[in-house]
Amino acid sequence: MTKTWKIYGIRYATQNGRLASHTFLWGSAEEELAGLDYYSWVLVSDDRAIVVDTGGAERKIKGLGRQWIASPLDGLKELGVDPSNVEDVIVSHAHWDHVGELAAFPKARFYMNDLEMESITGEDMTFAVMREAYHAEEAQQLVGLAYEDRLTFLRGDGQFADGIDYTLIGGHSAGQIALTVQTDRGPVVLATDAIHLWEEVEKERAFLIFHDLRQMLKGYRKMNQMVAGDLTRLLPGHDPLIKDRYPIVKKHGDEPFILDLGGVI
Amino acid sequence: MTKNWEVYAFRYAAMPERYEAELFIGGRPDANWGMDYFFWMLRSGTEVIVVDTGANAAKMPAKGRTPLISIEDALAGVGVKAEDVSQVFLTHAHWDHIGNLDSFPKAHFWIQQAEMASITGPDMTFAKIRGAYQADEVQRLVGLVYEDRITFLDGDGCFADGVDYLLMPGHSAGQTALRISTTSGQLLLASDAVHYYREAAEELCFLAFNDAKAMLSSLRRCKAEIAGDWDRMIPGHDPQVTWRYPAETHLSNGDPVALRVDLAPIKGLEL
Ligand SMILES: [Zn+2]
Ligand SMILES: [Zn+2]
Repeated sequence: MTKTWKIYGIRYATQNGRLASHTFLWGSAEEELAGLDYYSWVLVSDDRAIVVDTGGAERKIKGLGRQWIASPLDGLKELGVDPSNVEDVIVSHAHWDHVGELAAFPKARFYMNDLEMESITGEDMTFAVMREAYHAEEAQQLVGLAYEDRLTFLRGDGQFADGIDYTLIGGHSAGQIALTVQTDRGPVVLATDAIHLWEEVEKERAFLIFHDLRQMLKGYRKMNQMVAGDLTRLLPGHDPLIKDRYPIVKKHGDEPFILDLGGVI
Repeated sequence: MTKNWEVYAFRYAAMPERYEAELFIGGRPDANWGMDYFFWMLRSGTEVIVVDTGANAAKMPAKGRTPLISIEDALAGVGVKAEDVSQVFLTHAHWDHIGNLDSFPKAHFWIQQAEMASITGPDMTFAKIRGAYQADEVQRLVGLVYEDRITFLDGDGCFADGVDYLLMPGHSAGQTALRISTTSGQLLLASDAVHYYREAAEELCFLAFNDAKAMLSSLRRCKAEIAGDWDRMIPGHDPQVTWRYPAETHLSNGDPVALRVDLAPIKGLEL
């Protein structure tokens, strides 16, 4: 029997209000959107916790005018997961808001797609507009992990563990991957930033940050097919609606902080 | 008319004892080849192109190599200030070729995309391949990318008037050789696509490689480039280079440093 996992989203920061012109390709400067939420995730079964993305560093989040809620590391501790003992960290892609706390996982082996690494250390980064969402020191840290023999490259699609498959989606970032996770309510696709907002799939609105536009749009359709059109089983990486649609496990002050994304809506 | 270049090989380090068995598959344990370490410079009028940056002196003793002169001093000997150099071409990213990137604070760098992908990607999960690269130096290269100081090359092309680059993969995934116009004709600066003249002549299989078959094919391509005229080939580590060419500068013990490999050899070749 396939193992099932809990999917927890740790909502570590939020941005209140954002113009469509800063969010979607051809978005209007007149249209105000709710904003973006920032997440780190952890997949938990009885004996194992797998971290998916480590969130952005606090000073960078604040420097960009986002509101910090609480450290994703504190979120893990609330769930009984000690970052210093975590053994597996999946990096869905290497944008700054997903790889900010790599050093907090000293015992972990990291997993990322090979095309992502090639992109963030190679010719793609000679284009200033592409470089923007990545930071040199984090790319260097990832390279360092490769030389410490703590990095495994995932190529294409495959099984990560019993009940967890990865799929190369690309588009948003060269090696953006999505995870299909078996939960108590069936398979759930954790898209991370292959989809930021459900609207991208519902209306095929193209997110403004991408490596390959066509690949990103094809990815929206592919993931929609993967969940047979049931968008409650497709989890975007930054949608502010997530906190309203899934059970809240823990608040930080008034802010929803930890959400049960495999839970019933 | 094509521009002609002066070509310098700087002998910055040496390993007097390096046995054939340590160098080539099937090598004899008692045949000492020795190994010299070079970086290179091309000069035409006021234009200067530095090729590779040598090994980091601090890392050499632990690896059993003796540094002879700093790369700054080697360049200064022929009137070039490292800090003023604007172009550095990297033939590959082995530790003995990219150890002094920050000696060139004003330079822009060129390297093959295939090399960068190899040294940051899945190839480096193999300890046997990783061994020839240094994490901090690769991280520094990544930093240069984000400082917008690297241009990536893809295959073969023209680098400057009279300087072509040729992808010679195998020893390293993005190993590159340069074809250079000089007053004595075209020269092939093989760098580590060919370490020793005899390696190419006898098609020996060097013991450090990313892809052995590709390395041997590249050896043949290098040989085809020189069409049997060995005086047109400059291998990357052969001590014969040190003693065959006229030197412009010397160490205090009289050993040569700056060799003019674009001029006619002063000594024959042992093959
Ligand atoms: Zn993101
Ligand atoms: Zn080499």
